[in-house]
Amino acid sequence: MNNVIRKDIFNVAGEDIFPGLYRVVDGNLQTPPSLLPDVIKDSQYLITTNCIARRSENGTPELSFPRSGSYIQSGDIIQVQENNKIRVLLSQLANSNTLLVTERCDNKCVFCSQPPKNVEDDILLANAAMALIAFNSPCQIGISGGEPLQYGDRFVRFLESLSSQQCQTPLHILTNGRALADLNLVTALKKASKTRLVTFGIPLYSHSAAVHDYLVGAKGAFQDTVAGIINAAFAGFSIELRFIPTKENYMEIPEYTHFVVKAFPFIDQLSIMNMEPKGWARNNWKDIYVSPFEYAVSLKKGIRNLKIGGINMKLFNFPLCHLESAIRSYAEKSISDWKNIYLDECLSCKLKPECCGFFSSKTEKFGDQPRGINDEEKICNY
Amino acid sequence: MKKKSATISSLIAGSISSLAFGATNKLFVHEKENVLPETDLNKVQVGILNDSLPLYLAGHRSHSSHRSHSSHRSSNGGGGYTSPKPAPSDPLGKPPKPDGSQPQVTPGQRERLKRAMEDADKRRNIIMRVQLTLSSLGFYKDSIDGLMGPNTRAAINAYRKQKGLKQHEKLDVETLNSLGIRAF
Repeated sequence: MNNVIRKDIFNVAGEDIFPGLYRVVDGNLQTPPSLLPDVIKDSQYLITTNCIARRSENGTPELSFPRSGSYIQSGDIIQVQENNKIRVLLSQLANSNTLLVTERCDNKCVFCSQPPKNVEDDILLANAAMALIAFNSPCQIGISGGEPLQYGDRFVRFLESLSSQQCQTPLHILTNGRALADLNLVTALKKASKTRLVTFGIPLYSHSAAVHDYLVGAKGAFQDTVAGIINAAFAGFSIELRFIPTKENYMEIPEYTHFVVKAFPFIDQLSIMNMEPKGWARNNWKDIYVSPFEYAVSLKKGIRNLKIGGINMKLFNFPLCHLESAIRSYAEKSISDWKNIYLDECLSCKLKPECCGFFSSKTEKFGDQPRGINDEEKICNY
Repeated sequence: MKKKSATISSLIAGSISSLAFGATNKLFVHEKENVLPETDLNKVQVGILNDSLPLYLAGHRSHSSHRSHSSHRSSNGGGGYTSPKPAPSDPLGKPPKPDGSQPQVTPGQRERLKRAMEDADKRRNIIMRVQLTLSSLGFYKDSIDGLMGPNTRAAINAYRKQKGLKQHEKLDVETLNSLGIRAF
């Protein structure tokens, strides 16, 4: 993955640094302490590949990054791992920041790009809390998993602990919404986020329980998720719904969008997302992937329904050359920079500046190929 | 206490069921298994008719465009996370033990922790990180205040018991290593 837009993982040579979370500080400034120990970003040395770690006189670790300054800024949060690697957890240079809080999940979506694992990884929630507190950003940060809300009351306390340390960072929480069917939990979550903008990003893959439950690999999921959406919305949370076109549901995009307009008129946004060729999606690709060219008509009808119904909609992860020109305006540069690439054909494309490009997991086998758009005819007519 | 609103929920059940078309064919057939049972929707909080229309229902907020963040690094191969097993030995010296056993805690480390705990700010910082971590692990349920009260002590000892660590009155290097907290 050496041509991603922003590299976020580095090998480190030199002194051993005790594993854990650190805040990066500028060695020339006196920065007030935060919850986390500091690591000094040293820009004196020019290095090309690995990070070099040293120890300053008072014992604080110093790190030199390759082409120092391109990857890391004072205030960023890094994690020193036990395998001589450093990962940038929260970065002001990133186009988006997301924290993974668990790999456990109670759904088994056929296209899951982050397949669930049954591991004891509660420490991830603690790390997320400390990272958020030390980073203290006013910009929205994502919380993802697995299923973050399977922590239940511990997630409520997670939110409370952030507020108790004066961290008001807006959060966008990806969840299957099933835990929100419990009204007590929703009420507690709302109470814990009185002064925080919290948005739930909830996937709903069909207006039909049978199709949704099949795609998420769990019977009864649709019922829970719909109840969760309603509970969360009426408690005052922002809701973003997410839909992924697949072989099972692409022909019903018009009916699905009609359903969303009528049943969930209160949502902030519906995001229709192209599949990422990673995890289980990769394994099941030929059974579930359908080309955007094949569902273009269905998609356009759905967008029309949403527009008439007054629902905001966005297209995520669609390269512009895979969309009809009429709907390109709904596309977003939605791929996180650490896994975002452009292909050779994109170099000559006139639409590249506005295009999200591709996932770094894309190969020729998975998904449609890029078609650099470099003449007027192509720009207007597909 | 869960609030109920029977009239509204049956309204919503009706409207949702009429829209839940069968997926296996293209006709607008109302399939029984797609109807949301009324009883389930009774557990759902609704309240439009009695109050004036809340602001969040009246229209859509403007949204900021945000990334899809649909996937991110898993814990392996690229990874972010390893469980809080015994931490490597003194970072100024030897490399980690290959067999992963709990390295010997040196008197130097014990002394450095003792001095850190005597500094009011460092002490508060360490205890807050311990409280945050134990809260996420489910052992501590009170406020994150950086104070070593009876509940904090009980949580630390409950954690120690589960991990097979020795119970102590004070915080020790072994416990901090186990929690993955660097304190000095």
